[in-house]
Amino acid sequence: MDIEAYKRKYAFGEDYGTSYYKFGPIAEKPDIMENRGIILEEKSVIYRIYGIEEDVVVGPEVRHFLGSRDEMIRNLIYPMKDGVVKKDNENAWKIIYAITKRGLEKYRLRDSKFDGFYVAAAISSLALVRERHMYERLFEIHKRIDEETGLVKAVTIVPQPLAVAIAEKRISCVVVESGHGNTQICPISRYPIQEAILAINRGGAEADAITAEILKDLGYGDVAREEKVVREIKEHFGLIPRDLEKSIEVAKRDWERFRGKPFKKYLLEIDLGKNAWMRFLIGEIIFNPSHEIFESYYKKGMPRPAPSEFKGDVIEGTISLADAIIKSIREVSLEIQGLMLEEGGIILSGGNFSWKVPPRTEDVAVDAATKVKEELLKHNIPAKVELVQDPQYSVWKGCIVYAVAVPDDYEWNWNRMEGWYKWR
Amino acid sequence: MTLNKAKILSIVKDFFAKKGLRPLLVEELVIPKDLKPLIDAAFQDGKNIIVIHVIADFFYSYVEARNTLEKTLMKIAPITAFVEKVYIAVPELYASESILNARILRESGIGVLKVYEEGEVEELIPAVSKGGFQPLNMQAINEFLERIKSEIGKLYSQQTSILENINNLTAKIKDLERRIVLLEEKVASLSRTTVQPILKETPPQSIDLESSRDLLEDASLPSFMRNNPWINELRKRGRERP
Repeated sequence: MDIEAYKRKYAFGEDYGTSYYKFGPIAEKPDIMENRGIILEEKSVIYRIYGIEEDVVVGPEVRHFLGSRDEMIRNLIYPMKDGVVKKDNENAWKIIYAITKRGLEKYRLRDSKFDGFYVAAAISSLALVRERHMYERLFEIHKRIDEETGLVKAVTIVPQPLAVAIAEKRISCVVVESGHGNTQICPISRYPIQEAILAINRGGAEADAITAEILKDLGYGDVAREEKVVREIKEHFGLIPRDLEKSIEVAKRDWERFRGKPFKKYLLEIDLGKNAWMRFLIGEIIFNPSHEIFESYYKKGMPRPAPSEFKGDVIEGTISLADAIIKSIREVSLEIQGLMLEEGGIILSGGNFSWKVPPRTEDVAVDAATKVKEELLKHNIPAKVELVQDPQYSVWKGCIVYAVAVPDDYEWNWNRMEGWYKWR
Repeated sequence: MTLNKAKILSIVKDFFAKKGLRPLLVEELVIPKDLKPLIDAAFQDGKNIIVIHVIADFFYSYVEARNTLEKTLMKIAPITAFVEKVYIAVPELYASESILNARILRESGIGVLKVYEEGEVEELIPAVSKGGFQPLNMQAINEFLERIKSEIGKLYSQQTSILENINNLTAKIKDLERRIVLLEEKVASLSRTTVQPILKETPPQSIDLESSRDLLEDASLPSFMRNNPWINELRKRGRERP
C-alpha cells in the first residue's frame, strides 16, 4: 500500500486537554476520556482480588477507586495544569503515558496491513513557546508505547490553536483557545505566529473557582470541594453578562426570570432563588476577572490568576480578554492584521466558551462571541468573532487533518517544530 | 307471668295448625345460617313460608320493653328477604302501642301476634310480604352462580394468556434493546475504524495536486476534511520554506 494512502487510513488524533483527553482514528468524532488518574502506591488486597496489576489507573475505572471525598482529593491526579505538564512531575507523566497507551490500545486493529498509527497529538501552544520538554516527553512516550505494542508508526505534535484553525478551514485567523487551565491567543497565517502567541493563566478553572465561592456563600461548602460537581453546577447556572453592572441590576430586580431550574444531582438540589444575579459572575470572570466585584472574593482566598510573560513583559493574570487579544495582534504585521480580523476572524475555541443564553434572558445575557465582539468594539476594533462549530472536538479534528495531510517523508524538524518523529 | 316461651310457642303452633298451615323444621329453611337461631317456629302455607320469633322476656319497665323490641326487630328484619312473612309473637302485656314501634314494624313488614294467657292469638299487625327471596328459586340462583363461575374461569384463563403475552413482549423488547445497544456500538466502532474503504489506494504522487484534490473532494471523508484548504497547505510542508 502506498504510504500516503496508508497514512490516510491509519491517522490517529490526540488532544491533550487539561480536563479531557480526546482521541481516536479518522471519524466524525473522537473518543473521550478524563485526563486524570490514580497512582496506587500500596496495592491493597482488594486491588489484587479485582485483578488490578498496573500501578496507574486511568479511564472510567478511576471512579471505582474513589471512596470518600477526602480520598478523592488525596489520590486523584490531574496531570496537566494550565495545559502543561511540568518536566519533573513524574507522577503526572506516568498518567499521561497510561492514558495515551489506553487510548491507542482501544483502537488496536487486526488488519494484517496495519503497522502502527500516524499519531498527531495536540498540546498547548505554551509548550511551543516555553515548555519544549513536553515535545520530548511525548515523543518518548509514543516511542515506548510502540516498542511495547507496535501501535505507533510515527508521531507529530501540533499546537492546539493551529489544530483549531485547521478544523475551521481558516488559513489566516486568530484562535483564542480557552480550556480549563489556560487561554491561548494564537494568531495564525499558514503557521502559528510564535512571536504573537500570548497565553494567560486562566480558563474554566477561574469560573469553577468563583462558582465554588458562590456555593460557599450559599451554604454548600461541602459541595464546593468536589471539582467535578462544581463544574457541572457552573455549566448549569453560568451566564455571560453583556454588561455586568446592568445585568446584575436587572437580575436582582427580576430574580424569578433569572433563577433558572434548580440544579439536581442525586441527593443534592441547589436553587439560587434571589441570588440568581450571581450567575453573571460565573461568566464575567472569563472575560474580565479584574472587575472590582471580584476583589472581595480574591481577598477571601479565591486564587488570583497567576501572571504570565509575553515578550519580556509581565502580563497580569486578570487582564481582560479583549486587552490580551489586542496585545497579541499588535505583534502581527499590519499587512495581515486586517486579513486576520475581518476575513479569517477571531475563532473562539474550547469548552470555556460554550455558554448558552437561556430564553427570556437575551436582554442582558450574551454568548461568548458577542461578548468578545462587543468588548473589542469598546476599543474601536471591529472584528468578525465566531465560536467554533464544535468547541469540544475541533482540536482533535485539526489533528486528523494534519496527520492525513503532512507528507510521511517530512521528518521532525526542531527548528520549525513540525514533521513526523520516527524511530523505526 | 305464666306465659313463658314454650307456652307461647305452643299457643302459636295451635293457632297456625288450626288455619291449616304445615309446621316446618327451622333446619329445612333455606336461609343464611346466622339467621336461623332467630327463628322459633316456621310454617308453610302453600308456597309461602311464615316464620315466628317469640318474645318472652320479662321487662321491668315499658321503656326497657320498647328498646328490647326495637333491637329484636332490627335483628330479625333481614329474614324478610328470605321468607314470605315474619311475625313476632308477644305476650298480651307488651302488645301495646307504647311498646310496639309502629313505624319500624310498618317499614320492616314484620307482623305482630298478640298471645293471650288463655291460649288465644290475635293478629295485631299483619305481616307484609316483601316479595324477596324465593327459596324455590334456589335452582335458578345456583345456575346463575355456575354461570358466574364459568365466566370468572374464562376471564382467569384470558388473564393468564394476556400475562403470558406481556411476558413474551417484555422479553422481546429487552432482546431488541440489547441488539440496539450492540448495533450502536458496532456503528460507533465502524465509524471510527472503517472509514478506510472510502480511501482509494491511488499510486503515490509526490505532493501531487490530484491526490490533494481527492482528499479535498472525497465526499465520504469526515465533513471537517472536505474542501479544507489546509490539505493543500500542509501537503507542501517540508518542500518549501515557511
